[in-house]
Amino acid sequence: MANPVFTPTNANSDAPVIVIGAGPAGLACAQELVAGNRRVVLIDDNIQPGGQYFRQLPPGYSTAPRARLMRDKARYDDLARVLDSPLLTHLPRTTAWSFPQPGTVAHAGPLGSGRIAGSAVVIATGAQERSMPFPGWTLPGVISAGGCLNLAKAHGLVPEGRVVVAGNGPLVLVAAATMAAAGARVTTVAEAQQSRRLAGAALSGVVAAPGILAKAAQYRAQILRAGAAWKTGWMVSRAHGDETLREVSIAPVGPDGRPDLTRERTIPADLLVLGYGLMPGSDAARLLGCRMELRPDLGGLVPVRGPDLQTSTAGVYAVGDGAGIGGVEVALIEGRLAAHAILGTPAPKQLAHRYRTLDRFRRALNSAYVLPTPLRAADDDTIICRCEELRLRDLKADGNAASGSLNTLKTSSRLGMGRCQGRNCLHTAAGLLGLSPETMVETMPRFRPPLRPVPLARLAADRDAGPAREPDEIILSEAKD
Amino acid sequence: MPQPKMRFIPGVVPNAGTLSFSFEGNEIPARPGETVASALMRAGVPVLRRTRIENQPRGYFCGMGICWECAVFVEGTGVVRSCGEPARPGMVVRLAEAEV
Amino acid sequence: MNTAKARTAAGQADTIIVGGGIFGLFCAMTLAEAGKSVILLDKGRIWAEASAVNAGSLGVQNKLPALIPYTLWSWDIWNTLSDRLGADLGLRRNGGYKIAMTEDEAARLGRVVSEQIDYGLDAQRLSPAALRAQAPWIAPDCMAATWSPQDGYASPTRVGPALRRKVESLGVRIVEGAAVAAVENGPDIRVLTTAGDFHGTELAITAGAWSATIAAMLGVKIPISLDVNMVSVTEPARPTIECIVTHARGILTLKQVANGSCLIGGGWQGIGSIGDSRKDIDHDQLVHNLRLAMRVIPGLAPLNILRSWAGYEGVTPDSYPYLGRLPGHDNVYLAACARGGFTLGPLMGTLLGELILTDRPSRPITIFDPARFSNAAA
Repeated sequence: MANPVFTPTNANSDAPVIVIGAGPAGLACAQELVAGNRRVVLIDDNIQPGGQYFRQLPPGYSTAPRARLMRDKARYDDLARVLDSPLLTHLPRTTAWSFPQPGTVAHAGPLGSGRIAGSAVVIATGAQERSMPFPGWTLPGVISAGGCLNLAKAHGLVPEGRVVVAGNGPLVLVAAATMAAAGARVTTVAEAQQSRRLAGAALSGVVAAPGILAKAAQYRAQILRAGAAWKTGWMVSRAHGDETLREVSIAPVGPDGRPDLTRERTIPADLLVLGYGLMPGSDAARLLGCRMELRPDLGGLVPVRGPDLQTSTAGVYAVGDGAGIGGVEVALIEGRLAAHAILGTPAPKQLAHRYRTLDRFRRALNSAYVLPTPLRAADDDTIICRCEELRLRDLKADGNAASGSLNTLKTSSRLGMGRCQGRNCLHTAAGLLGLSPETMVETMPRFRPPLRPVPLARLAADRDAGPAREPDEIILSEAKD
Repeated sequence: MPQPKMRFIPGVVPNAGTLSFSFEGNEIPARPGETVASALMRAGVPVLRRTRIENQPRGYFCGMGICWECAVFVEGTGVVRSCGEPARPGMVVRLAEAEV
Repeated sequence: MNTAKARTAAGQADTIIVGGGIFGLFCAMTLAEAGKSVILLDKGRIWAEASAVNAGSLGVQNKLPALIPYTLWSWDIWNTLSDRLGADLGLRRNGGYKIAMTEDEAARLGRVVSEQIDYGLDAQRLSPAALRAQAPWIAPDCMAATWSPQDGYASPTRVGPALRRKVESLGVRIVEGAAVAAVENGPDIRVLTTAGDFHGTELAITAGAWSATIAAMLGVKIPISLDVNMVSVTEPARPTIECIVTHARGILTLKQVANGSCLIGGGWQGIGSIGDSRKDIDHDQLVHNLRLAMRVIPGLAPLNILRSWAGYEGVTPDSYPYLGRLPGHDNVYLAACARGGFTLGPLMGTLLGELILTDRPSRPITIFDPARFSNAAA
């Protein structure tokens, strides 16, 4: 299968469709493709399928009926049936690490490494969280909202001590409600957005998607029932502790987006959950060279897509949160719509209609949560790049800080050169250094393979690598033999 | 051992079996299928790696393979994300530092 | 404002340098220290191509025998560069191993090292047992190795910004985003770029792989081919490999740098050309590069690879750099395209500066004459 020639969509239906990511969007897409009798290879770097939303407990775990971890178990079970189809090959714990050609995926994992030539590629790799650095945010005991949900959903765990949840956006609600439902002591919830802006979002949402709003109200009631203090217009300003988290300081959001430290309050905490928003995980599309655009209503940097959800690279589709933040409902529909586009079959009318409605709603919601002034709690001493241990001071003092180029700054400061490959820090650093969003996008370093860190031996184990062409032997030519 | 900081959610029934591995020389009990991060957090071990330059403690953060803050070193395997690595009987785990 | 500064601000200088890599910056530094006014042009940002994206080896053992003296002279500059620039350059001179994995390679290693020693290399042959005792992390089936205390490395990402600060402090005007559209010569030099026109008494071309294009604007054909070299970097690991490792056939360079990351190179070719601006990984060759690295140092196997990339390197037909006057032009100079230009760059840039200043560079440069392939050219 080495170096196959890629033919765009439909031309070569014998080759499988390669779906990257086994979350809601990827599973829905795979299900529809299999229903259309198309072969599918589903690549996912997690142990179990489901993505973040349908996270599964480890194999061999079970839940008593009263445990409300899997709210949507029935829906997941329906989706997961596709995994048993003879038309589908599931590669778990496998990294799609690069694209030797637009239609070919190089993959590596404990089950083996090789390449697969697809008739189409579907990027369904999901979202990642936005960082909002502040003094003390690297302490153990400070975790992200996604990390918090996975504690419960993927590990079946709940913290024993006091939990503070802080952030901006729907994740705050979801994380706090999940913790409360799991039996955690949620003492304080701090949402940075003022309640009247949230009300505006709610109003636009009631029209478009009453179900989602009802769920939000339910979450909020659950949190208040648990006895948590609920503060809107407040943000986290600092975390305190030596080896682990001990206390959290919160403060009202000032007009400059900074915490108003004159009104700061410090509360004891054993776990601090941060939910400062999601952004599309754009790395696969960037590595593929898809044309990208900055879309605040889709949560940030996304691949440009046509109505069929195809990117600017022929035969490459992008669906779900990685192509624009929209949550599980949008992801499920986009997965199906892309499958129909690949199969060349028309999507059912009600599916297309529901998509239009949801798409409008998620744009309104994303826009409503965009703060007039970005939040900023980092001081000069705050770590911005966790891997390379770079503080804001280091970045400001770098010889290339004034270049106005994220890529230039990266090369001299080592910003984004660690194991997170820049995912945690590049966006944040750009904002803190005063780069405009447009400049950030223009000067964002090119994404280099592998898409995730992969052990050398697994890359070397590529069973489909073509023959070696050794570099010219210059020393030999000199030796004249 | 410090106080446990994480426990199973009431109603979650883990795999009935047990196994153990070592972390920095301490024996850590785990359930089959459970990740290294999960077992360590239940055992009250929040510090999973120390940073290279400042020797600062780091722990579980994103839980989804983005941040690598929960990286640990597993003998015979290398540096892995503890939140995505199932515990195996007898595995020898240390604070993350890769070795050639 | 002094007059020189006012002149460069107006686009006039004694010397216009085209190409802001390591050759150009050292040439600028040499000229400016001697009191010349200099404008340094780059089509993009300076320090963005081969000088920036190479793996940082400062190898002596991996150089052609005739280049050994030049490499050692360049090391004389490297040795004091941190002090001169007032910056930590990630410079280490911990020596290096050059290894052979087959009998053929072992024979070649032996032949080449004899010749290199004749040219001044300090190196010794190691028995397999001695190698294992000194460097147990090298594969036990390594057939032969040489050791030289003269090899080392520096961090390209640190050297660039430090050099820039230095030349700017000397009054050199750096103009970025100045892609050259045309060059006129007679009697003075006029360089027309996307960032304006620049006038000088002399022109220095230090544009690496792009130098042939600039020379062609003056009607001179200089053969330069393009390599697209790949480099990979691992996550940081406990310091183990305290020196650089090179290969008898020049197909591997390997080092563990200050932060513990291992850099793996060796000239394996990626995909791209100057025309299409591509600098892409060739996945097949990347895999072979990594396999070879793992075969030589098995302990690399579990290390996570964080990035692989490709960068351009201009190459001359005989692998010797160009350094001298452009054929047919008394006031146009060229220095470009050393295989291992990061190692040789400080010397090459300095010699070019000396040539422009005094016409008598401190080292012989005849073997580098840019006219040596120009029989065919008009």
